[in-house]
Amino acid sequence: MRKADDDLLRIGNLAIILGGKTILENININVRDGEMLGLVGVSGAGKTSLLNSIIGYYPVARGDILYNSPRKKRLISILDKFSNFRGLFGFSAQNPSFYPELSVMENLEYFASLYNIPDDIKVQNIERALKLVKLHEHKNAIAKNLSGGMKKRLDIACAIVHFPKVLLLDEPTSDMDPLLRIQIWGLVEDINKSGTTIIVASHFLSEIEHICDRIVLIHNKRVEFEGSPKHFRNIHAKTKEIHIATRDGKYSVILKKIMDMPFLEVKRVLKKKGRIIIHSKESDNVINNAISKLLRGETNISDVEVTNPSMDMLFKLFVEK
Amino acid sequence: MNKLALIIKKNFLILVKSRWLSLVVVLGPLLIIFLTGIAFDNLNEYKINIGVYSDSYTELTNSFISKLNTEQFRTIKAKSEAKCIDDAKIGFSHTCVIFPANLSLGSKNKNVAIYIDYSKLNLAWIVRDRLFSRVEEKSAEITKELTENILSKLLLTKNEILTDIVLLGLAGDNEDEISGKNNEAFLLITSINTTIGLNASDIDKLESKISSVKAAFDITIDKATGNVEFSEDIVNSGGFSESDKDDYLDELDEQKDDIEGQRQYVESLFSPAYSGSINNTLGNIKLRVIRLNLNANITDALIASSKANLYNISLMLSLNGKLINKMAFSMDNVKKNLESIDKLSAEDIASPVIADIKPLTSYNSYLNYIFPTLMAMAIMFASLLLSAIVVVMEFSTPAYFRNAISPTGNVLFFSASYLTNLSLIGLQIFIMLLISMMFFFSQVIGNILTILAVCFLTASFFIVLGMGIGYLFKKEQMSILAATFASSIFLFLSNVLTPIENMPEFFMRIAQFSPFIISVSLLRKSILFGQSLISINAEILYLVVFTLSLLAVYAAVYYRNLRR
Repeated sequence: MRKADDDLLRIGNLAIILGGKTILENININVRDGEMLGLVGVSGAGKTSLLNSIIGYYPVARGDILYNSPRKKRLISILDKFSNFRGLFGFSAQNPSFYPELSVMENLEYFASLYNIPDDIKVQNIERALKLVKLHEHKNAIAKNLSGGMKKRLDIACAIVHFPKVLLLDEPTSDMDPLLRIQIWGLVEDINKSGTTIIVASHFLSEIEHICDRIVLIHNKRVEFEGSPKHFRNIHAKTKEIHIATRDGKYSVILKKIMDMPFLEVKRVLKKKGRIIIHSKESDNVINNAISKLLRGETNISDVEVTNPSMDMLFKLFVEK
Repeated sequence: MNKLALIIKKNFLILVKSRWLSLVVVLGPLLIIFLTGIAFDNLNEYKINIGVYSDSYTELTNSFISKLNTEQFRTIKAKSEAKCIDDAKIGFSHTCVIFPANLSLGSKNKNVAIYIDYSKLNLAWIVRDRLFSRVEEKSAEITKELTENILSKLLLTKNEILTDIVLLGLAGDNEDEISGKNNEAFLLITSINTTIGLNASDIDKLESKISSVKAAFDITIDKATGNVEFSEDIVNSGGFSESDKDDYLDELDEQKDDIEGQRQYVESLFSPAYSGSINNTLGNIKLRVIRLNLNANITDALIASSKANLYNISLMLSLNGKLINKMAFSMDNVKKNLESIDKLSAEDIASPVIADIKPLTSYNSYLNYIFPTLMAMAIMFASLLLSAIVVVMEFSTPAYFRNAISPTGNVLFFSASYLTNLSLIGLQIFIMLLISMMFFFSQVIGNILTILAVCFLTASFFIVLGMGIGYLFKKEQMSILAATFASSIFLFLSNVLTPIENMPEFFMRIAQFSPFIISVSLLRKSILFGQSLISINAEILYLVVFTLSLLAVYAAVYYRNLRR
């Protein structure tokens, strides 16, 4: 059972209005100390705005953000005097934020110096950050000459060089190939394991479901779900997916056959990557029976597979609901 | 190392690693100074083409044209007035001079029209000044020739007058002599006695006296006869012997005879014939006396008239003498005046005063004179552009966001940017001062603190302004445009392109407070004239106030935005 003291941050009734437009309203999120919290939402849902408000870059129209101060042993508002809490956060935005003209080391030294860290600790922090992001061998390389993955790692290193209590990551794997994504998520996990609380915003729910302790789903300017990924799947994964591929890529005959099966209720039919995906709430037996019937005398079908829907699909279905 | 120093170090590293930016922003103004230095490092005039035209060229026109055809100018004869003006418009020539047809001394139309393209700004002023000075030189030459001519005529006149003065002296002497003669004649005429002392009545009186004398004679004769007869009676009646008696009587008879003889003689004198002759004579005399008297009267009248004439002549001679004296005096004055003119040369008269334009400071190159302005320009351009770019670089860098969310205040970033810019501009100023020592070694060394203070304040103002531009526009292109625009405004509202005195009074009053004009003035005073901080404290104060005002405005805007 979770205790109230476990909350590192409490975001209460937060509203963000930018340029007269309400971006988010009545946002209530509790961030636990040491957890990795995923912020999920479609593009434009307000994930980045929320992160920017948490670090004080965007103004908060209403509500409050409370920090559970271990020193004062009570919750204190960070909005009252945000400048005192800037060191609490590290932030890695969607686009890397460092000086491309400077070397890795120069960037880290510079950003470390902005956080009023004593010189000896600063040196230790830089070494530690370099090790974490595995850029030690490239510390003298000019930032703009680094590869995409290295740039992201440098950006994260810049965000953690003062070893903040909370690290905020905004779409850390956008525009990256799968291998780089795996590297970056591995790095994020390592940072989290080192004791840093992480809030990561992403619209790839499938990617974060395995590393985030909890997810917060933001939709229609408010929090629609807050809980573990498993809990989300349990609530929303009520259908099976029947993936069918044909040799000639034509599905009209097959779809007619399926639709003519009275025992099979089809919830949705999608076409993706040259195959059709049929969503059905029926039991495994019913589905298997239907597949047997379909394959009988049908030579055009090259592949049939029954799977659980992905988190992304669940998220899509949730949003479309 | 403290935070401020690290931010400045970072700024330097970025600028240094951006080689093109370093070259353009840091070395650009120095390059301008270097190139301008080469261009202006002499005292030569510009080579100026002058289009000339006249409907009819005369000797005077050609002399004007040859006067213009100097090292500085090259004259080009145009085919028509319109062509001459068009050539100036399209830049084939810098100016066009139209001479009137048949230009000569004393001709009615003597207006020389000079067309100048004022759109060429400073060149137009130089052309105008140089051209006018050439035309004025030629005019002065003509004036000198005319004056020499007049002076030679005056010399001749003076010589004539000298002769005339001698002649006037002689005339004066003659006049004195004539006056003496006139006086003599007057005295002579005055001495003429026309008194006859005899008139007709005197003749009448003579006649009556003659009658009276005869009557008296008759009486006397009668008395004498009576006395003789009485005596005879006495003798006859008296006791005288007969002899005696006889004797007495004889005697008496004789007496009686004498008397008778006398009476007869007198009677003969008064005989009618004789008397008539006398009367005739007396009548003639009377007539002559009357005539004489008449003539005497006429003579008197003539004498009086002559005397009056002589008197008038005397007066006129006296007047003439005075006139001659006056004329001689005047002539003498004229002579003296002419002599005083004679001492002057034609040049003294044609150009009584020669304006000799002397520089307040004496250097051998234009660069010396324009160096403070160039330096102010370089500081202004570099400060505005560099500071705007440094601020915008900070805005546009991907790292801006990370800076913004760090616990480092904006004031520190602002200060770091200011100090970075100041350091870079300081480097430029240092190099410029090193260059300036080639021309003003003693002035720069002797007044180094004042010069550094002026440079610091100038750079500070324009850096703060440039940073404001950067913060306002945030985009590189816009900021560069705005900084260039601001620099251009400062440049236009200064003495660099056109004198501010040419501007409308309102703009001139504003322009006087332009920080650029103040900066140029301060650099000129400190470098060229070696003035101390105390003597230029008012202008220094202006720059300080301007800079602090800008900072105050920025602070007000910043804290207003922060509250929002």
